[in-house]
Amino acid sequence: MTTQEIIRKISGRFPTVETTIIDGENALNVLTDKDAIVQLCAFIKNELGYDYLQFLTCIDRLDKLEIHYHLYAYASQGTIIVKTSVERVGGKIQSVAALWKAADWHEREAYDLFGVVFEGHPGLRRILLEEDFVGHPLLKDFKGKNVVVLPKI
Amino acid sequence: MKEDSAQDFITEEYLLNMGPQHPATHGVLRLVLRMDGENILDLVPDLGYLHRGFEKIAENRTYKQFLPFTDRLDYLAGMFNNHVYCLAVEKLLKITVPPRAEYIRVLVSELNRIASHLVWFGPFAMDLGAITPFLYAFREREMIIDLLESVSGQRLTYSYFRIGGVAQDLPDDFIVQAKAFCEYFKPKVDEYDTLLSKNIIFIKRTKNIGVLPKELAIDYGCSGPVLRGSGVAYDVRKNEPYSVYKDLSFDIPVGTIGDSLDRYNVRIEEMRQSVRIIEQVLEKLPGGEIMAAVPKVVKPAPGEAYARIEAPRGDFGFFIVSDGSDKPYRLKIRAPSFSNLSVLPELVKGLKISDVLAVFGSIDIVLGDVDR
Amino acid sequence: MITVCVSYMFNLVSLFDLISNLLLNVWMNIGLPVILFELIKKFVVAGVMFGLLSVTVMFLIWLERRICARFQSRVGPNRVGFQGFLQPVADAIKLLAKENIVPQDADRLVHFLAPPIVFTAAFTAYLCMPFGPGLIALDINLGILYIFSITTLGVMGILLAGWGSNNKYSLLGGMRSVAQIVSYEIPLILSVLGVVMLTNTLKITEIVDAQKSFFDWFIFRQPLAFIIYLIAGTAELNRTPFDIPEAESELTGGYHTEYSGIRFSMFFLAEFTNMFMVSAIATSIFLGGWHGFGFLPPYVWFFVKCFAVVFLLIWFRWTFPRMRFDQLMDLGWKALTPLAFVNIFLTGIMIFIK
Repeated sequence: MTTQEIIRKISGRFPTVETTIIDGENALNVLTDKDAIVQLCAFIKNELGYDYLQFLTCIDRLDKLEIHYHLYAYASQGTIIVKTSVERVGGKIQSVAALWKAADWHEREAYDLFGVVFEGHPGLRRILLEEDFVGHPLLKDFKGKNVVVLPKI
Repeated sequence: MKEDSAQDFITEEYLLNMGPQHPATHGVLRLVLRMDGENILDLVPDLGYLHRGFEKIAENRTYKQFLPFTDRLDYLAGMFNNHVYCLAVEKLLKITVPPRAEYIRVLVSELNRIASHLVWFGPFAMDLGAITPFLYAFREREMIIDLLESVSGQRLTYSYFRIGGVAQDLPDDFIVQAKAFCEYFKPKVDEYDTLLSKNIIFIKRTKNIGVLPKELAIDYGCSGPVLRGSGVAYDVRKNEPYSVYKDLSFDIPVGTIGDSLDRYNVRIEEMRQSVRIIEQVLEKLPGGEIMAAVPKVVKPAPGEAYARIEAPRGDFGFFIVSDGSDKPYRLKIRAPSFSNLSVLPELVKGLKISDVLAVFGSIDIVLGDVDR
Repeated sequence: MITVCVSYMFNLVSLFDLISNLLLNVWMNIGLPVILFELIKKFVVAGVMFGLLSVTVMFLIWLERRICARFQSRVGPNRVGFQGFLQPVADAIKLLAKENIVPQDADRLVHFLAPPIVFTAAFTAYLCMPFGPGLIALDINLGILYIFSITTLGVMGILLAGWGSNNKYSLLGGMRSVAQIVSYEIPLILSVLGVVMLTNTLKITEIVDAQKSFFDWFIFRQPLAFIIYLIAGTAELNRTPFDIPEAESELTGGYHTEYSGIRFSMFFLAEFTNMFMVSAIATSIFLGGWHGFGFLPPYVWFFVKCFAVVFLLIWFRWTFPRMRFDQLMDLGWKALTPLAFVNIFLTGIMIFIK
């Protein structure tokens, strides 16, 4: 399955999804709306064979929170990066933990550090920080008592 | 009659806390076990005792300043952390590393891989109650550490790689000593086989224990020896070659059913393959520069890059988002141990408490890597 | 003079008798009752034996550490005294000086009682152990039975330690220990039973005397029993590969997790005393006891053989991984016990044919 075929298949099924090729790599960027995330991921996993969730992470874009799903297919050795975004504070998105079990801990981590709520997650609670921690440290405006912002060089 | 006595005999489940201070959790991991006598009903890992917030720190450090932090991730395989971080930044900067530097990187990485596997081998044997292999493993590791010290000046947190190359060239007698080490080390692996791998008690303790089927391993995002032990012949070095692995010949050892013994055998064989790679690199080592031209202040163009390598514990990746400034806008560390550990509760259900160690040891995690 | 000395060296009993008679004469001259002398003599004998055993155990600890160091390409303790001989003494002093920590929720009485029970059980077993001809504190008819029953009492202490510490790891260790020792006691005694059948006695001195020449040693007549004894004996000692009650990587030390200072040292000493006991029984029953090949006093032969067995046990410990609990039970009940019965059966047939 070439990259072009994958793009065709995705846009055939999800017309609103934006797909771009990353130069020099067997990789795709797939931009989607957050409501379609589970259907899109299920499609990518079950029909395109992207069976390995490398990781899932968020990027604080100040006006929104971007969520990246790095997916990999062992068969075709290609990568798809599904990107979507939610509100910065109190953002909610459907969980993909039912598709990849790996997503379980990665979603917990994203919740822990960014505060994104993954709906339908089997046990969404903090994973790296202590349970009574206040705030989500990887947000750009997080003010912890130990966070010292260094001067710009 | 029988029913009566069963009613009189009341049994209770209980919770057992393993860690964060426990000799077998290899660091500060807490495992909460729900037990019925010696049998495990459920296991919940509780992480975060070593969380140092590297991803946040990275946002406040320049690209060059962050390099020494990476050593502290998987502290048993510092070279790999340096390597993957440099790869990601180089990808952002679109720098090509000179061939000599690439070869040196592979050389020290593979030495580090052996050292890392030895630190797995010894404690794994110790978890199973055999203490002597631990000291044998550390004897050999000491030699590797000495070699790496002569290159980088450090014994554990090397910070030897630089964005665009390596910090300094190899010392004069390094090649001779590395060759001597390879010659010394090859029979030692066979010695480990005689001491432990072929021991009937060891085999009984690990065979068919913690069976991880292929599909489950992929589903949980396992990588490295854990994945290969389950029979998936996937190695980033082979399937998505980075650095100069394309020019080197080596095999990927693969297990069959994915039990603890398979994972063990995969790692033992990987040590042999690493020696093979080191020998080839020592033969092929080209001359020339060890640093590419890198600007004094690293300011990559806005964009994002993901680089990954095959670390001793699996698929290790750095995802860096740049906003054009001298500091990473966002840096995500894809730690192999994190995903590998998440499969543990699945593996130990219904096993005995002793088996937890046989399974947990064979997964080989480093808490610095899990908690970041 | 030298020949007299040498003859006394070879026959310690007559030396002891000589000293005791001399002292008795003095005693009588002062005009004190003989019965008091006999009483004091018993205490002195017990004291001497305790001292001797303590020294042996200290030596054993040093030996184990040195030997395992050699196995592991290390040096081992070599600083305190000549070649580190005094290292165990230094360790003992350190342990004695340490604080005796009792966990807050521990059952204090049980926690307190456990180490002395283990310690006493380990030491009193030597009462019936002949170190040489006549060198035995109490030569009773049921010698073997006495030793096995007393050593098994130690498990009571271990269970109390596990229970009294109020620690789940300790409790698991204690439970494991009881299960293990109870199951391995059976093949252990059954293996010795073959020898008892051949000699028709439970008295250890008589069993030893039945093995005067080298080929009379019961290891040649009962090889299977010896192997069963060695395995079961190692299991009784809670040593690798059967050290599941302690299992420091699983149970963080098992029943003695919550012990420190002198109470810990009691467990520690008891472990090594038991180790020497197992070797001593193996020596007396299978390896001809004090009977040697001349040129050395009999008790020296006894110790030489004991330490040979001890070396074997140390070798086991530092080579093998630990077995799992259920595998251990399987081995005990499904392999060793039936084999021991087979051995008894074969011995019976042998006796019948003869």
